[in-house]
Amino acid sequence: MRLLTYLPGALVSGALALILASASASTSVVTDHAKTRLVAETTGVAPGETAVLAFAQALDPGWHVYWKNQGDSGLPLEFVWTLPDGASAGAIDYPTPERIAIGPLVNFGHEGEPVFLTSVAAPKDAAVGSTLDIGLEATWLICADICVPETGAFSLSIPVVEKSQPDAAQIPLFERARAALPSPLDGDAYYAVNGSTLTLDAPFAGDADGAYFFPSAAGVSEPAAEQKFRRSSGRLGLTIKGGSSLSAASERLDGVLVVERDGVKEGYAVAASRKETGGAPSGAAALGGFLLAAFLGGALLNLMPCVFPILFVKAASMANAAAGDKGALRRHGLLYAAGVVASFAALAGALLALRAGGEGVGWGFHLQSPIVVALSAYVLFAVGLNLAGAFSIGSSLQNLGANAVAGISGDMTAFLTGVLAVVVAAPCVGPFLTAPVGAAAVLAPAAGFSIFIAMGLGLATPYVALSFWPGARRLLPKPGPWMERFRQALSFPVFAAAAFFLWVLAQQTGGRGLALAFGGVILVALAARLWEWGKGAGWGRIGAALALVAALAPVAMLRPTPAAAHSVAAGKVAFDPADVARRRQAGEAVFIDFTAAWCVTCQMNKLTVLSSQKVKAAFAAANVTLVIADWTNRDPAIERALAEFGANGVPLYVYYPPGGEAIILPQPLTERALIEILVPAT
Amino acid sequence: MIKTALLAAAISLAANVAAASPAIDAPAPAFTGTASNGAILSLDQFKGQTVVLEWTNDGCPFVQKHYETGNMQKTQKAANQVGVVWITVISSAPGKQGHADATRANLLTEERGAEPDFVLLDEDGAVGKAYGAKTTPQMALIDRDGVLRYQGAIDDKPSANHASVTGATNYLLAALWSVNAGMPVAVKESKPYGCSVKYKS
Repeated sequence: MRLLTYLPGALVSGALALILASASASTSVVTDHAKTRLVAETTGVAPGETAVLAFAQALDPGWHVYWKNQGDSGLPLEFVWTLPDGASAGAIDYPTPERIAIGPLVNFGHEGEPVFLTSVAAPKDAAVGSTLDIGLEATWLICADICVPETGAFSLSIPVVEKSQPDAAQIPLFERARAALPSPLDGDAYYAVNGSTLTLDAPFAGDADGAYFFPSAAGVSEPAAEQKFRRSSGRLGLTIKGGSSLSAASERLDGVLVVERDGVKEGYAVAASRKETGGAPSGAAALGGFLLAAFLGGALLNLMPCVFPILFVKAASMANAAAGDKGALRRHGLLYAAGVVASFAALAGALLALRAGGEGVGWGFHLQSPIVVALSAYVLFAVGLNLAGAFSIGSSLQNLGANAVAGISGDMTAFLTGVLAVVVAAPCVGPFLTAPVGAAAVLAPAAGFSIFIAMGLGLATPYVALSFWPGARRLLPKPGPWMERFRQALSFPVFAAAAFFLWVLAQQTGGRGLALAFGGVILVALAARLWEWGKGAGWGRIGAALALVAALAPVAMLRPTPAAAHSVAAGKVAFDPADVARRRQAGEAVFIDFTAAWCVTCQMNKLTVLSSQKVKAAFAAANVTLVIADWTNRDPAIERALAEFGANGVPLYVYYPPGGEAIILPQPLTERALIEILVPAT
Repeated sequence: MIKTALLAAAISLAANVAAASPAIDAPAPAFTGTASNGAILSLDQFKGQTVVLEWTNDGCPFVQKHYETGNMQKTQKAANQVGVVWITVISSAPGKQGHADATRANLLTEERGAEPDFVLLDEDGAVGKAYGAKTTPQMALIDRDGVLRYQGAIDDKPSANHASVTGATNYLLAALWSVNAGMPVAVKESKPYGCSVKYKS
């Protein structure tokens, strides 16, 4: 019995002795959670030749060690070599990594039996017959849910020989190790950085069920974020959420791309070169976007209460008027479109002429006048009251238009209806025009003009479509009580627009101006009420007219109060050319935001770009003085500054790097472009 | 237009929520939570004081390196001397390594000879996630105005080896001295090293 209990122990020490006996080829270390061997591929090494070594581990089930980029937590393998003079160790070739999720975090590592390949070059002057003595102290972090650092000391003595021979016993191990290394890609890979997004474009011919990119460097990607992939014509594209050090990406991006197919994962070594994809939209692309937006905006106008009834009336009438005459119907449709587009062209022409003749005053300059702002608020308020049903004017403008063109040929009527659509759409068009007008202000005249045309085409398209396919009328919602409710509901956005103008007015004229405007607004409401009470009777019209005239009185009393407009938020500095010059001389970085309360584009930029956390952080990081040039009211100094930059209106964003010349930021302002200029990637 | 603006604002808000680690040199994420002494902590109440957040897990060998060598205590003492509010945060979920209720947390402080002002019990991981805490130890430094000035590792030696403490550059203290002197912080962010934070999910 005694013998029996000893026997296994004796066997184990026998086996250990066996391993030690062949110590020239391998040594092993057993730690709490791993068995690790250091193995040479060949039985000997020639002088100056490189011996390939395998650092082969067998990990306890459920435990993992780390790849060279450990992901969210963990530590990669660390080797400290003890080598004879003239010998040198190579880098570690890691097997293809896996994603290992720990709660919400994701680590990059290896489970099971990973083999790390490395190498040692023998000294050139090593004597044949001697041995290459290698000492290695390895440290690795091994984790399940918890982590344990482990170390092992390994030593190998490889005979120095004339010609090395592979160790037959180790061939399977090295075959397995090489199979687990990422394969080369069949072609060039590219990457691009767009804001906080990394995109990778790699050659890949096969099918894929999934793909994931492991960057070699930590912080390039957000390990836990899903990566979106798409396949197209022999390429595989990945969209990757960038990590904290993404902006520091250099000319090359290294890593491993893992593609999954039918449950089998295959790794590919990636060395991608940087591709300038022009993340900031080029002029043409930007114009394309504006044109599309203008077209869609125009199409959307059809749903506006000002225009929607026209579509109904025309849709109903064309069924009668041109019944059976499809040719006439289509002609009318096209003429209607011509009318709409011609009106928009006229509008664009007028605005462009105004811009050309504006001598640098720029778009929106009329809104510097508090009187114009107050009147805009009145008109919008009145439109809102009308939509809400507080009063109605005659038998609506559409009929007015129809009567006016009665007796004229059907073709002419169609054209004039198109013109009329634009005219009656005016109250609703306002908010929609802001974007194209803003764009037109920064684009070439031809581009600005085409934006208006696109909007006109958008407005006309649904009706043209109806005239070509009258059957599509059935797709329109049926007229009914809902129209009334819809109309009433739409009064609220219009009231909101009126409120916006009143806010602008408050910026320009302070509390007193606002009080005066509120008085005026109440008189407008009174006018509406008087009109409705005295419907059809002369006294109603006279009373309404008197109330309107009275409403104009406070408007005449409006005076701009510069102080109200120029109150600047904390941390920012009001525009003063001398102050800017001083700061520049002192080597400060200065960013000038030319803005105005009435400039919707400026407010949008403020809300979406300038106030974003990232941009604020970039401002802070670059230690930039933020100067606000508020053009809400007329200001000759700001006008001169705008003219110096060749701009004719706001918004305009100018950045002076420390000691550098002015950089005008491209429009439309994007977070990415701004941050790149403030904190140039190194 | 106004609707579009509101929509854009809503989108940018959502994007902020999804962000992994907070932006450096920007207002630090607000938080509230219960400390091991029963106090309800919120970042707001420390306006005017410099705040250090330290994520810990007493079972993690990397944390042990800093406590067993006295390095973390030394760092806490140095911070205390300049009036910093030191908050040790335990984001381990119940049942996970390093989790501590108030009693255990106070016991740990005593055993380790640690000098935090508060130990924040963050067992639902809300504070940890708001700060993108990924490892233990991990540090964050918030200045008097509530602006995040440093986040990442305590030093430049990503190792669990006790010997690595000597000669390490303590990033947190370097940032703290700079912030107190009103100077820009040289290393504002570093890759935190250590065990993963043992979140609930």
